[in-house]
Amino acid sequence: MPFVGTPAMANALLFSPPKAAVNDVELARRLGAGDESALREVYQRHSDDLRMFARRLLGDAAAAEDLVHEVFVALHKAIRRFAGERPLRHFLMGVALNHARHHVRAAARRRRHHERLAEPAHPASADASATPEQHLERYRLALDLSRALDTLPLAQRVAFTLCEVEELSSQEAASLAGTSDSTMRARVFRAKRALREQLQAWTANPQARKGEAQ
Amino acid sequence: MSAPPDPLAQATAALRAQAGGNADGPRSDADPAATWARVIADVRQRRRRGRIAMVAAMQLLLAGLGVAAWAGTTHRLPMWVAAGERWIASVSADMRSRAAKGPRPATSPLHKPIASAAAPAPSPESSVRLQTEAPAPPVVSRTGTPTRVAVVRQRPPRRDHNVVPEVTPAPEPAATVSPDDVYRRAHQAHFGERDYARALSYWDSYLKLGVQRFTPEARYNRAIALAHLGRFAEAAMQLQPFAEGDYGTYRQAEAQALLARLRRSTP
Repeated sequence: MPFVGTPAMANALLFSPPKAAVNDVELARRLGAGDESALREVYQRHSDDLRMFARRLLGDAAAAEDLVHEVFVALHKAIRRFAGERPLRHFLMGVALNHARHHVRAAARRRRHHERLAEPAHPASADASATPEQHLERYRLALDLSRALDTLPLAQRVAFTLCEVEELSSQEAASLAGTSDSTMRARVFRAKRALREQLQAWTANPQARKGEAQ
Repeated sequence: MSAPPDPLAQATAALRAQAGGNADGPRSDADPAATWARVIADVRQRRRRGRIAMVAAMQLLLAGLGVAAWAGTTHRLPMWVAAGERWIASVSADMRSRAAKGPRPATSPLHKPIASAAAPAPSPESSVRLQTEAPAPPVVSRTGTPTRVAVVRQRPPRRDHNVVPEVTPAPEPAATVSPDDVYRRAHQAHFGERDYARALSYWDSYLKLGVQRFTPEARYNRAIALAHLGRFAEAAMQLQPFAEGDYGTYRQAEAQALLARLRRSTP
């Protein structure tokens, strides 16, 4: 029987076996000193989570990959700000937010481009528990939400993604975004109101989808 | 009756599941290895660029040090430093005059008499009293001229200048001694040690070097040294050009006052 590996197993084969768990602060110290093995270890441990967050934030896989690349290239300097007061994963998300602005615009442009060309939608990974119809419906909903997020200011988009999609607390999200808890909750409230209105408008008038997205 | 499903909540859940992939991890079309290769290539390239920039900066620094060393050995460095100090002084003077909104100083930037100069009487019966300023040595001067920081009242001379002291000629400046060094030594002997005989030798040595940066100051100080040594006639001859305005207003008033006193005290 041929060996069938999963992407996670392939990733494990591509990289050296993970060493014993290293304190994040020690890892950050080595990273700041230019240790490439530390960078590799951080990438191996956190790139998947960061990639997921980037996709949820940007709604585009290619833009998400670019953002992940940019975060890790900038990390050897950015890591000097890491003091260990929060998990390294959250620190990486904060760096991603700092670099996200033009990636958000790039992802929105790519979505509009695909719509104009009427390119076929990319199906999500196969989920054994969902029927094809459920799978496609889920994909359509996710795409609609990504388009609706394109209409929001970046701050509201970030707030919604952190609190609603990533399901972080408002305090954690505020800490990542560098703002106050009350401001974060206000942004989430405004974002949800705008998104609901947008989705309801598209549900009522499906043809309006292509014209509304910026 | 259950509440209708919230479209936003459904869409959010769909986006979370869509981007999060399935239980196996990220979407299968992701290529973490390719992204890692790009990351490490870019990181190494940035480090190379940083090293190149540092090497270039070090080379520029070494070249600058080399030029400075060459300028020092060829005695160009004091000129450059003096030129820079004069420029700074002129800029500072402009700024001060603008701030005060007053008229510019009448004297030229090179000659800035701050206070009158008079030397104490070299002989007990002389009523001449001189107040000599104590200009700073050129090497520490910030204005490129012997800076006269304060008026220093001369103490009574420690020697009996009726007796002409033995003049210990100062050694001729070696070929490698710069004019500024000679001036500094003369200044130290004159204002620091009050050894006017030795100072006179140094002033003579400096003036023998030809026209230098502080030739007028050296001439004037030589006149003061002569007066201290009781050589009034020579001192008067040395002061005459200053009194007549040959050096503009530099030391003109002081020279005139000193000449008048020397003449009164000279039989």
